[in-house]
Amino acid sequence: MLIDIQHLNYTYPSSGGVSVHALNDITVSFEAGSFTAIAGYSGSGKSTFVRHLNGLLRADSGDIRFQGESIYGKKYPISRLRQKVGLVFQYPEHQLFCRTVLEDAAFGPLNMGHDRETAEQMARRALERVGIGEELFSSSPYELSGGQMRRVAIAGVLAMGPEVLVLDEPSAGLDPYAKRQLFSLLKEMQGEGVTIILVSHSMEEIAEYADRVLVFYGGRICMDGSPEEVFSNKEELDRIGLEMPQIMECMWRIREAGIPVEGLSCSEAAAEELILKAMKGGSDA
Amino acid sequence: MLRDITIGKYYNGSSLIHSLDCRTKLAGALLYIVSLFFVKDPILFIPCLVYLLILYRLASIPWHYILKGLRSIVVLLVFTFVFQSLITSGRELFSIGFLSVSYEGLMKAIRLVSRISLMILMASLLAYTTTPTQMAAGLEKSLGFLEKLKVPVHEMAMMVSIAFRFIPVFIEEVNIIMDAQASRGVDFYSGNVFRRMGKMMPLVVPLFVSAIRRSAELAMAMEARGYTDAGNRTRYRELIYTKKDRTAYLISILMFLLILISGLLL
Ligand SMILES: Nc1ncnc2c1ncn2[C@@H]1O[C@H](COP(=O)(O)OP(=O)(O)OP(=O)(O)O)[C@@H](O)[C@H]1O
Ligand SMILES: [Mg+2]
Repeated sequence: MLIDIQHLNYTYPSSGGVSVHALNDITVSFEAGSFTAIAGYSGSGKSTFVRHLNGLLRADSGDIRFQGESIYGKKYPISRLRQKVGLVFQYPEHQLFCRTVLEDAAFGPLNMGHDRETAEQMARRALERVGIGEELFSSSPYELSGGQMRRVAIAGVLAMGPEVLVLDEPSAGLDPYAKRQLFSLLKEMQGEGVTIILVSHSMEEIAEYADRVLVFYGGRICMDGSPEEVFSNKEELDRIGLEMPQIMECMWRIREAGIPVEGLSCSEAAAEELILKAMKGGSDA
Repeated sequence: MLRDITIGKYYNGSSLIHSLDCRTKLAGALLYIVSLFFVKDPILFIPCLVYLLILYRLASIPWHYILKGLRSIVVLLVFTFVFQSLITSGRELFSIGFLSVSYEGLMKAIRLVSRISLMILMASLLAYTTTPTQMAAGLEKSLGFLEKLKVPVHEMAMMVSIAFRFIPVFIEEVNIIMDAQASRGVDFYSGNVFRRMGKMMPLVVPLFVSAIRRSAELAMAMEARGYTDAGNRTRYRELIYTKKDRTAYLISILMFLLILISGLLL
């Protein structure tokens, strides 16, 4: 296992009022090269969880093992972990702090000990991969649009060449074209062996791209499985306030209307086939 | 670290102390702090401390918050104590090498350290139980008579309250930037003090940039909701003295006189 997490608990320190037990006995592991999506209502602990993956937050109890080694060990090089586990924050403006776009994307490689030239080379490549053109390289990150900021933030992490890429709602604020571009990039990276962990509120995205879904509910993982498995459990989804992806919902309704569709699927092509088959079956009889 | 600052942070609650008018609390704290300067005999600090602890209890502030407030100035306290006991000459109590501690020095050190600690604790109590907004409103109202002398009290109070408002924003901003940099390989916690300080430097520029950005946004948000500096402003929550405040004033003044008189006599 690449990442192995045991009984993780975390409570936000509070000043007065009630303290929030944001993670509650989380046990889960991630395989190298997998594409895992994390879903759950707002405030269910997704961002808190991903902040533990690169050691930004330290659990109150429990353990995280990365490549077999506990990241809470005394001598564990936490800054090296953060280069291997790249985290793209939920709010891109929280991630950018340099004067120019290029400098910002080169910040990670520079910290890894590359010289300026190599670092800029890596930054350029990463920026190109996310579709930021040369003309923006010398502008201030704060002067970009939301979607552009998001892409620069992703590039800053990509430039470090992480083995695990954790993205917290990366598609928020992107136009449909940029979204598709982003996901084909993620798929491409998965092909190169990078492990992807993606927080998302879009069931369609999850259904289309992820191999596995974790559903958070009140700081716990309440569902874990393939998108088909998770999304076909309608009662549970209703209880925790999530929805099926539209295609699946569509099949569900067709079935409710009395046409016997066999199984539920998340992919458009498979769904079409199943529906057509059911319709034909219906007309034969 | 910066993340753990509690001094000067409001502690949300609904205790008796929280519900007092902030002018009452301000006056009470001031009286207490002034009275501390009249205390000569260290024994007298014990009732002062007891009074303070009772107030903390009434405010339902957890005990560890009391220590938290002092932790940030512990170095200062230790320094003061050691210095005072060493540099004051008088009847020698004991000596280590060429350093000698005198009875007078020790007394002076105890007095000074107790006074500073109690002052800080009282100020923290005020901050724990009063929001910056209330504090600014209280100051504005107490100093309202200066308006007649053409002092722009309202504008100044607004500035003060916004300045207070920005302390948590600054802390949050520092945390955000530290997280962002840490995520890309900066290690803030290793190396010696100088190396660690060196790593703090790259935080400064982004911090100011984002603070300026935040304040521009705040100004825009205020104007979008119709804020101008013209006209007589009314408050959402009027400051009104109640019976509780009168009692509190009475107790504060009694306590002040008590400490004052016993301080002068002892
Ligand atoms: N800095 C913080 N201090 C205190 N409590 C926090 C802090 N950040 C988050 N929380 C609390 O922890 C819980 C989990 O928050 P988290 O940000 O992990 O949610 P999330 O699942 O990422 O939500 P969203 O989908 O809106 O991003 C929430 O109840 C939130 O109020
Ligand atoms: Mg989140």
